Amino acid sequence: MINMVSVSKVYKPGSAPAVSDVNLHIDQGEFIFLVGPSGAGKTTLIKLISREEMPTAGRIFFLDNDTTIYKEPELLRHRRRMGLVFQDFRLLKSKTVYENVALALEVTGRPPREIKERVPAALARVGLAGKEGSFPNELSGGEQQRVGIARAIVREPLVILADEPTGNVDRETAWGLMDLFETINQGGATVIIATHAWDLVDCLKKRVITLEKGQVIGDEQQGSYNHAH
Amino acid sequence: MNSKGVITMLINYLNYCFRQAVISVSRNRWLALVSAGMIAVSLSILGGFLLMAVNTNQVMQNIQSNLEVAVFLDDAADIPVLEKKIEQLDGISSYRFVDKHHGLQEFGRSLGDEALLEELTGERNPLPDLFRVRGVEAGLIPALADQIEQFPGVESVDYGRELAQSITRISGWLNSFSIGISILLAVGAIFLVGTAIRLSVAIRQEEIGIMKHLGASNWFIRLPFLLEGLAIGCTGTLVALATLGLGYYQFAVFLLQKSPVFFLQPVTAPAKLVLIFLSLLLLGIMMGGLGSIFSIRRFLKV
Repeated sequence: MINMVSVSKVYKPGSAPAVSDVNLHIDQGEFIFLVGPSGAGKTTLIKLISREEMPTAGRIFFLDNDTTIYKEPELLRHRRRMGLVFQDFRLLKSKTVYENVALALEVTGRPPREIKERVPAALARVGLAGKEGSFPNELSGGEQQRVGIARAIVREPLVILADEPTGNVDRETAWGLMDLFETINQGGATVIIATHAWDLVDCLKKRVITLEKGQVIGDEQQGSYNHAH
Repeated sequence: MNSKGVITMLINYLNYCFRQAVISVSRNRWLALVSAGMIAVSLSILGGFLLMAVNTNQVMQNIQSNLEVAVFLDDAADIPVLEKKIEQLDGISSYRFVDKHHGLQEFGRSLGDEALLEELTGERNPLPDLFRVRGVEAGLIPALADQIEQFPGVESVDYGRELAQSITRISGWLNSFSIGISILLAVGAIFLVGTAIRLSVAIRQEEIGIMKHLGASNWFIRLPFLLEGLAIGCTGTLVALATLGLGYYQFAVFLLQKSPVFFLQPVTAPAKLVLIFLSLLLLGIMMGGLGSIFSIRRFLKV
């Protein structure tokens, strides 16, 4: 599904590469943890897959299409196949929970009737039924992240990309969120999570890709967080 | 996607854009009101200058059309031949022949008492026959006078040389001044709308970033701001047009009733006024749109 071929990314000419000569193959329906120390290149890798960033070298294929040559229309289609979840939730404080989730459908021009059906369903999936009218600042951190996840899944994307989704919540809430990601993955979506939460990684026994200084130094099925890194 | 699907998507999209524009204007209503107010003031001044320009032009034309060359003839002049030559000149709006008898009467009337000249009638009339020739504009009068002076039978020509030159000069200055001020005001108004939209965009910068992540097209993001700018521009322009319309109506009524001189008449031709008001409306809306487009361009790179 996702194929990265000799991918490198240098933000400023002359500086160290954020990602260096990465080769990865990710199949549909996989659940993957990206781990590694801060600055290892996890966020850059996620941005490269979502095509928020362009690689300096190499090719990234999504469903056999080269994403590095996408023009605006293909790029929009590509982004609409992804569901993004952020550490800081990135919810709009002036919008209600319902409006935040609906935005993901509105930007693709979905009809109001469909939005009215899909938004409550997505909120129910993340356990937030009945919170439609609340504003983000009326919710706990865990609940806000669930809204972020509902927004990511409401379009039923092929891939969920989550960058430190448990970084701003307590341990117990983090476990709840991981359960949610597993459920989403069981529904058929590929889930890629960049994280520092070693205990979650070790416990869930999923594929673990370890990065250091922009390079892939480990790639294990049913892997664990390498404490040395 | 079939064509019906595309149309439905477009309708949903426009519906969303309108809602967002309304929400944004109502959320930042004070800023929107101040911006619209500033546009109203700018366009009122601009419109005032335009109205002043067309009225000045009309006054100039009124004066110019009354400027004439007095062509004094000698006694041996062949009047039909001269008339033919004058008639064939370029730049003539009208001419008339005044024989010495009528010339004396006109002179008497200008003195206010025709009886004063009773002694000078008949053979004792010292005035020559003359043609009074009018040009289509003041600038042509000196050249016409020079040409006519060369015709056989013409003793001399006379016209308000100083006046004709002054009118041409003042008319040019006024036009340049009006155009200059109008351009400055238009640029200022675009800057104002731009500032309002920039603030609006800055407030919604986070939202724009999230929308880009969600796969929103640039036009999807741009259009609500564009509509917001157009709405601000339109509101400001309508206020300006109402103010100008009312003010100009009062001015026109006053001049029509109490104008002290014949040439000081307001422009009331609907074609001219409608053109000015439509141009202002178009300009106001364009300023709103342009201000928006320039302001949001740099925020769209995510």
